[in-house]
Amino acid sequence: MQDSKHFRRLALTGLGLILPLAVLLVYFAAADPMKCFRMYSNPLEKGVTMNDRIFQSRWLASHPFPYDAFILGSSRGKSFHTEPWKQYTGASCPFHMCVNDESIYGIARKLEYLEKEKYEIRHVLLLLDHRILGRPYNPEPHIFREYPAVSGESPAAFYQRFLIAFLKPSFLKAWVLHSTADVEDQVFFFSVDFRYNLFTGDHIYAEYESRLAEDEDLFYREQASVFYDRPASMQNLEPVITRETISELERIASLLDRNHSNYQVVITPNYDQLKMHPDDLEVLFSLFGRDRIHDFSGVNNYTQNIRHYYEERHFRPFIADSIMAQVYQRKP
Amino acid sequence: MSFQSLAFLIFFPLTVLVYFSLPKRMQWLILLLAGMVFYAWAIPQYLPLILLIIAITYACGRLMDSGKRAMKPWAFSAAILIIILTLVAFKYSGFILENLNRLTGIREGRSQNVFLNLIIPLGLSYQSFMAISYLIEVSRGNIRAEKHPGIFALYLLFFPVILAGPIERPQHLIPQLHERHFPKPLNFTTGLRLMLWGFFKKLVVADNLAPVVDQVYANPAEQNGLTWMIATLLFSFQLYFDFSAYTHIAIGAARILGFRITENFNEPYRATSVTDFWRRWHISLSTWLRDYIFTPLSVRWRNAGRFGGFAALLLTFLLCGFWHEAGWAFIAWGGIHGLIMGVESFVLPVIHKKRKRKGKQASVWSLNTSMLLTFSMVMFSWVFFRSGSLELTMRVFSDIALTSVPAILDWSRGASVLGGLGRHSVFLLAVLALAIILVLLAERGINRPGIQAVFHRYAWLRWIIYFILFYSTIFLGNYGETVFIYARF
Repeated sequence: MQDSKHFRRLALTGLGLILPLAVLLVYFAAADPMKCFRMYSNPLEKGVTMNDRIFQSRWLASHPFPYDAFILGSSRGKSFHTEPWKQYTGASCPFHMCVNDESIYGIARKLEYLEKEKYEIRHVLLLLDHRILGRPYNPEPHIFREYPAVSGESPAAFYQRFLIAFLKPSFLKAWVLHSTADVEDQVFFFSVDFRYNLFTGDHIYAEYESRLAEDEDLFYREQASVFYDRPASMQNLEPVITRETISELERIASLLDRNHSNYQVVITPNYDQLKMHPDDLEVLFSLFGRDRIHDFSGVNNYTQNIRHYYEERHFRPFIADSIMAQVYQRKP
Repeated sequence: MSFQSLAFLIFFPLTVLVYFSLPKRMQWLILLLAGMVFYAWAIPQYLPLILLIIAITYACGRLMDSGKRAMKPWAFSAAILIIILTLVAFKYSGFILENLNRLTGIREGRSQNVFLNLIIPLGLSYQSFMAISYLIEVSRGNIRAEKHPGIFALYLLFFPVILAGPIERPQHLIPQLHERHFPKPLNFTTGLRLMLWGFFKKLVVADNLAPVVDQVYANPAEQNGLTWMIATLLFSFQLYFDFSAYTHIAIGAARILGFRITENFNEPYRATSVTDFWRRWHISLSTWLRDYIFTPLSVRWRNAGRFGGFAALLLTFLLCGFWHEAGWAFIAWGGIHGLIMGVESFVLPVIHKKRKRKGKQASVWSLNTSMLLTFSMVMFSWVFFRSGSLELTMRVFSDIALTSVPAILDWSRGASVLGGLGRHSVFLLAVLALAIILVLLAERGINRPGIQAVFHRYAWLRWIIYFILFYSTIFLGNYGETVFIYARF
């Protein structure tokens, strides 16, 4: 009798202790502040930065279009659009799958997912760089973590990351400020205006493009501070390909061969002008064949002019078009 | 399964619920199944291995206790040999082969050495020591061999202590496994309190210290003596909070289920000698080493007098280092502790005798000096432990010797000399330093009768503290991919 009274009191006080947390948990599930539960209109919607992999995977799962060609890479590949690519490859239904901060792990898992879901993988354009190749693992941050259906991770572990990120005091503070005073914290909130094509997955940097169309000189004057100085001479990167990276690359190569895919691998022309290490290139040559690797890293016509970039991370679509023309040997 | 995982947050309450709901005669079975699930959660392939060790230890124990005297040494030796060979195969073979290759000049890449790529089964070192402890106690006649195979299996698969101890002795744990346990409010409140304290120490303090320490040790080229010293100081506390947190969660979880588990720490950084440190740090390991290695060795070498004791100490602690991890840095770490304790075994009795003759107690000043000196020695020995290689250890010590003074002078002139530490804000470092002090004070104060009385009397005060601990853990905890440091041994 005495024991049950004690247990009742313990349970009640315990409930009192966890009540504020329970309220937060209910709010997290109901209001979806981390944008991980509901389906949104596009993966680059303004507001709290979304995990674009969630959007992409759910789109593929709920819209079984007969996609047969895929562009894979990081946000630096977003300037490659499906319409011009279609003309070079003859793909009938291409889908653009570049996501923010992509990893070689993510590319391998996405291709395996497409194969598992019985997509015909006829054409593939792999847009790689040293950052992607240097990450043969599932990224830790919740906004870059691969969707469970793609990675095989348990959904509980996946969503737990969003909950943990939500409960961080820095996020809660930013969220409260956003909800009450409409202040947007730059770390957690995304504010560049994008246009997104749901069917093809193409991204258009709408805000940048309209500013460029208005006055290109002014745009680059305003952006000047983000373009840091680069070394005067060509700098080689340290090798980034590890045993784990090779394992992921082997899986990709064997999957593409198994599916008789027509594919090309592009090393993107990044603003940093760092040249891919020859050892890394050799690995890529040996796995994919020399004629399929197109290296645009380092100092070259694409990387020298800052007007080829929106900012220090992303080059513009006309650069992507020109690269595609070169890769598919139909120079404009 | 890790204590700080979401899976454990579901697993544990569910286990408690089923454990107390089903008939008491089935309690051992529930705990055994829970232990298997807990063990198999990460790498299920190794469950058969631990079940095999359990079966062999059980069978040999029964043979030793069967009354057939001729069988006893054979069964004992066979079981010990199998346990040690398993440990060697999974934990030490890679290291042994690597060194043999180096000696013989055979060139073999790490990737070609299959043993180096073996994943060590979780908690293997702890289970091996518990199994050996059981066999020795049976062979010495201190306990009878356990007849119930399920209870014996549970002794090695009792989930609160599977991963990182405490290394429970059979005479302490097995009788409790036979008892029937009832839900008691005092066990629940004590257990939950210990678990909350453990989670706070692990997630808020230890895991927030980890990135600072990791940053420094991962970028040796950027460091100077000052940053190495700060990082090593922080690591000393990270290790203590991490390991004692694990122990508190383990003791708390076991207490809720009605079990009393051995305490593993007693304010180790207040030790006044390294010998005293080992009476306060990882107590279940140090007493295991004392009872099963040091004492038999020193009895065997008693004819050599104090030097026999010195040699026994040195060998015991070399093994202690090797038990932690297969690597020269760990062996050196153990050896240094053994050496210091060996020297203390000559010096301390002289000091005590002198004091006794003069009828004096140790003064507060001399106690504090001893404490500081001991802490410094222990702290610098953690460099071996954290760096994991002799090369890096040597680099740390040479940086400390050669660059500390210039770095301090530069710092006093306002220059930035913080290297890898500089990537973390001074505010964060200050908060962490404050957290370390508060937790150490809390651990010291909590056992004082006066504080306990106040704590017991004012429920509102208790609940405010619980509230702060709980929500600090939720909001300020570092929920990255960190694991308990000692779980990897």
